[in-house]
Amino acid sequence: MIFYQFIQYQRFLTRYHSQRLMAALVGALILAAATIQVGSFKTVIRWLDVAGEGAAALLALSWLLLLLCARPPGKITNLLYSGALLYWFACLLDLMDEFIHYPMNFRLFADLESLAIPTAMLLVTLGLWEWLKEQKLINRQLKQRELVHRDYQLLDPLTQLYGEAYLVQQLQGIAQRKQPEHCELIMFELQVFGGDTPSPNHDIVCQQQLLGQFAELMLAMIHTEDVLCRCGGQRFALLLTNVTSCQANVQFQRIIETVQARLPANICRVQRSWSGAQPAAEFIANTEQELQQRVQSCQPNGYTSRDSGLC
Amino acid sequence: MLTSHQAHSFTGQLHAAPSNAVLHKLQHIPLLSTHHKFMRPAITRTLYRLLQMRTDDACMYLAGTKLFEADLYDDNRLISPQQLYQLIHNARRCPDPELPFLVGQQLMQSQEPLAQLLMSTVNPSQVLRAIHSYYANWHLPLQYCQLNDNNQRHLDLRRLPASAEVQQFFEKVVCGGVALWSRHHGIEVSWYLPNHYRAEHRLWQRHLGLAVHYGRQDVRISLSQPSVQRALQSNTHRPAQNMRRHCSQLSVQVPRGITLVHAVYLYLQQQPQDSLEQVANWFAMSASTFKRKLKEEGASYSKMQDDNNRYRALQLARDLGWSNGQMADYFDISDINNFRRAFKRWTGLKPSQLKADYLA
Repeated sequence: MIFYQFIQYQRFLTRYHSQRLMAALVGALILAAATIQVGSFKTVIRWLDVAGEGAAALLALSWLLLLLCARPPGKITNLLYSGALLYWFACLLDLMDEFIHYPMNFRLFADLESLAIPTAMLLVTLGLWEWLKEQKLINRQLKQRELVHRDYQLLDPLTQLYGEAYLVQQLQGIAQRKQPEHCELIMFELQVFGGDTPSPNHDIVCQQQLLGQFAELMLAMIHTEDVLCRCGGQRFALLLTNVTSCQANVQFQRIIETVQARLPANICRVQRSWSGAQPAAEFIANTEQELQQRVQSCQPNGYTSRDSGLC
Repeated sequence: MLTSHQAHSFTGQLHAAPSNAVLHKLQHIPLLSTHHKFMRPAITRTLYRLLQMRTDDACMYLAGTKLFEADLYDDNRLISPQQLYQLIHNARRCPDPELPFLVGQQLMQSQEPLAQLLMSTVNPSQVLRAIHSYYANWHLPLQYCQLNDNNQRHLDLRRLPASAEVQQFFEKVVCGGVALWSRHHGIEVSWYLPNHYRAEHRLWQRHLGLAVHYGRQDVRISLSQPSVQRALQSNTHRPAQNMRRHCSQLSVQVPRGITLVHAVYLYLQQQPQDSLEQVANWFAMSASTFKRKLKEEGASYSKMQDDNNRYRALQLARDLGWSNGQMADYFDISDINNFRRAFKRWTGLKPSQLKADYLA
């Protein structure tokens, strides 16, 4: 599997950054050839220094590759790439020093080595500054998916929303604030189709795709200070902050009506207020238990009817 | 608890002494290895499709399976169980614990003839008969045992030796499928699960409903007989003959046979106390070849025999309420103390502890 992941990264690199990679390789080769051309090989080699500087050069190269694997082309990528590349070159020159003895009157490589690191640091700093600005906009895009924390391991791979564990962390984060906000949690289960009758065109895969679409629609409707999470199956949780119970109810009703106009779905829900007094995990477990009971009581087979809409 | 009359009838069914019919049938079925390619890729394809929806590069999950994506969509291409197990192993990296349940639901909702036949059948006995008859369509590596009560019809899932992750995967697949089938027909089901599933309680509840209980050593699915009767009365639709024909056609397209492990389990159900040499002889192998072949499948005869005895001992003690003396007779153990020791070795509990737990 790790091999396959490497192949995926290699495909990404060759697709988007082949020229940058080629430039790095050619640059490194020219540098190595020039040092060999100008200097002479040392007779005594200090292997401990070689190991240390070699490791530093390898790590610098890995930073460069990881950076390119992580980012699509663009201005910030170019800045970070230039900085990382220069840093790698500086490390390479440092490593070559251990094997090659330069003439006393030839200072080019020593000067290059001295200048490359601060220039690289400057470029990386500029890149990070631009990245900060970019990240602020991306954070805004992600605001309805995450409020306080970020933990990619808690993401639901289907809808790209966070899961239940994240919701617990989110509530704990709110509870630990000096002035905890009043939260309304609406946990709901939706059924995208009227019944679970097998139908040629509506299999689980279709339903899964529709869950993704539903999540996107919901995200488009909710406020930036609200958070939507997927609690497994066809169950979601919407956390609304700084609203009264009644306002949350009205808001959710409005959102669902809009969503249902585009995507026919039956909804069964439970709404609970949370002030931080109860442990977050217990609060969510109780709410889900209640939702489960409600889902089962809605119909003998556990689902709301298509006509009933909100349960 | 079952009545004594039922207990006897159940024992008869269990102990069905060398029912020649079963053993005779078994003797004429070719034995396959889990490395042989004899499975249609239905389950593999379903799992892969779900993985595809969860990642941009699902092909990485095929690593080590020696399969390409195109192989999964070609029904004429057969795969080996080991290839499916490898995919299941790889799928652990997908951070979605619901995948097995979804595979079960998707299988039941698919256009597979067996799925359509099962979904259109209300009678649980007919469902089990269909699964038994058209086993070759899916080759689920699980065995089931039926037990009838006045009000409930129990279905115990028994594991065939495979890695724990594969066993758990298939238990969830079956539970997901049965949950969908029972909801579809409005049949009430209670689920009895091993304790190690308690950690995932909410996941199970989400897919199976509130009637999830723990404390068993195997998975037990209990169908409420009155709800089955209601469903049977309200359902006038009969499964079409052409579905059965399709299933038969698919069954004959794949090599006929069962895995050695499965065959040994079937044998053990008939002759639970036979020695390794006797069983090897029956399968026309030397004891060492028999042991080697089982080892290749990740199994050993003594473990399988212990597992079989464990299952029976638990059924006799818990479901039928037999005394230690009766059970010792059943297992041909002359000394009660020896039986107690054997019981503890099989189940991890003394008979008295088990009964106390059950009553509690």
